[in-house]
Amino acid sequence: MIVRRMLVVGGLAAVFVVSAAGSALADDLAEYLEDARDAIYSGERLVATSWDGIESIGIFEIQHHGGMASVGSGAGSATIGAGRMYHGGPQEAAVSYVMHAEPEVDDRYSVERGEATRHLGRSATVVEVLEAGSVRVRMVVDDSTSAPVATEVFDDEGELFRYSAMTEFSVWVDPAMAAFDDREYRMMLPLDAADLPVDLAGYRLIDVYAAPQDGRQAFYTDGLFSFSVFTTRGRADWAKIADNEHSYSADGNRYLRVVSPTSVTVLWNAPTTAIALVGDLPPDHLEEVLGELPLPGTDNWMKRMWRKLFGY
Amino acid sequence: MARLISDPDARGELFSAYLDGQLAPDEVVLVSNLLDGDEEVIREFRSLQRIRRSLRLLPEFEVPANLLPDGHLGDRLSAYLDGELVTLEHRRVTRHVVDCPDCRIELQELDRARIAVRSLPGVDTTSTGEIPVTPPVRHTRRYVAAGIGAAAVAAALVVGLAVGNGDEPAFSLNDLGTRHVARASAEPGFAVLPASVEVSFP
Repeated sequence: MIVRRMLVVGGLAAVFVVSAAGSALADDLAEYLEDARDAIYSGERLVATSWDGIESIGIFEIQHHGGMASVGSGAGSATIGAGRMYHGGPQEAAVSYVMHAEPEVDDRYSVERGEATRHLGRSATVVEVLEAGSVRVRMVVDDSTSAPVATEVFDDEGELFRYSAMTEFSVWVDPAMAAFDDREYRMMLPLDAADLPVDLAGYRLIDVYAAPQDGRQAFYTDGLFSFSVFTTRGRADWAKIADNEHSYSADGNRYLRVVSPTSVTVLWNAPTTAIALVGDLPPDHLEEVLGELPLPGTDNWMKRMWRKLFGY
Repeated sequence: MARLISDPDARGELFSAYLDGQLAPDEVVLVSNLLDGDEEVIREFRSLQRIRRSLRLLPEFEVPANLLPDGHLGDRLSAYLDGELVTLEHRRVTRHVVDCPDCRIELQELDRARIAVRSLPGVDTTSTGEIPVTPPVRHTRRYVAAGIGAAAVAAALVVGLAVGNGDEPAFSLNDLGTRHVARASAEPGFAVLPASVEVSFP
């Protein structure tokens, strides 16, 4: 309690300085994102993606506290945050990544604070994230909690392709959300080397981890969107693995694509490597990224035999 | 609304406890009412949040190498894997592991050993209290088995070359989704759409 009082007193002293210098809302994107990560709220969130006629909609119960989100839907529940994720229920997969990220947003984005508005009867502010002069993301930020209560993501032609909004909202969260869970995690440790580029269409390679089938997971982000590229030697029958995949063509190359409310998964086989990309990036960014990764294709039978015999 | 609790110190303490998740439900309702539209109170709350974040991000002093056993982390790696380290020490160990290949290798070996031990089959000792012993295998059988195995490998190689489809890695989209979402959740951008877990539900 003494420590808390010291923090509070020190904090309030600094509050005076901070509040004298700025407004209640942040002025740059990194700060908005940090505020959103620290927001405390609960409620119901509707998320929908419409992409080339494929539509995917989800409704989630969500509790958000201390950078952790507990998310539930008809399909199950999970707790996510700070590089960790575990599922509720009997399967209880749990995975933890060791990296701690500091906000570093690509300078292709700028932010403009728009007009005051209301969402679910609460005071809120519109914040627009611009890329090359066009709106890439429009967020409605709750004034009191800094939670992003509504988000629209646009493609490069200004078409809305993803929408998310809280349909119920409360600042009440289950106090157990703040407690650090004592579950055993599978720890993921960063590896030294990767065969993938350090930059893909403006996305930076942050770290690389071991993945299934003796493969690699390379994590990329531009500070706003992110994706992982999973690679392993050989070829995968992706159509057997995905049950709601759609054929997808980018720059004349054929891929399989699985669209979900908040992410997209793209699957293909390059000549010597099976590749899966999972992320939340917009369609035009995805196309640019795919153009810089190994393209779909097959070896001729002579090359395949040579590789089988000699391993390269 | 600020007059609900007029003392700024008391409000600060309440907010601090709220951020720590230590309030009773009726106190959370009080915070909810305090934060309902009073700009001055909202400013106080948001500033307190930022200060706490700044405190979290303060630079930390490195532990001098001469205070670590052989300049490495030793037993603390095990505590790290078991999730027994408090936040500051956890971050410090993380940074050391990222920068120190020796400790990283040791941590990976520890992790592998932990997984191997966890995957061992349970032993039923309820009846006799003795651990069952597998009878030794005769060498002749081993040679026969090895011969069959070699023949099978040769046959598989021939069939594989003939078919030419290569390996078929067994992936699970749920697993890939889980791995990506877990890693992405360490990034601030994840907070904009934190509900991206639907592909990951088992």
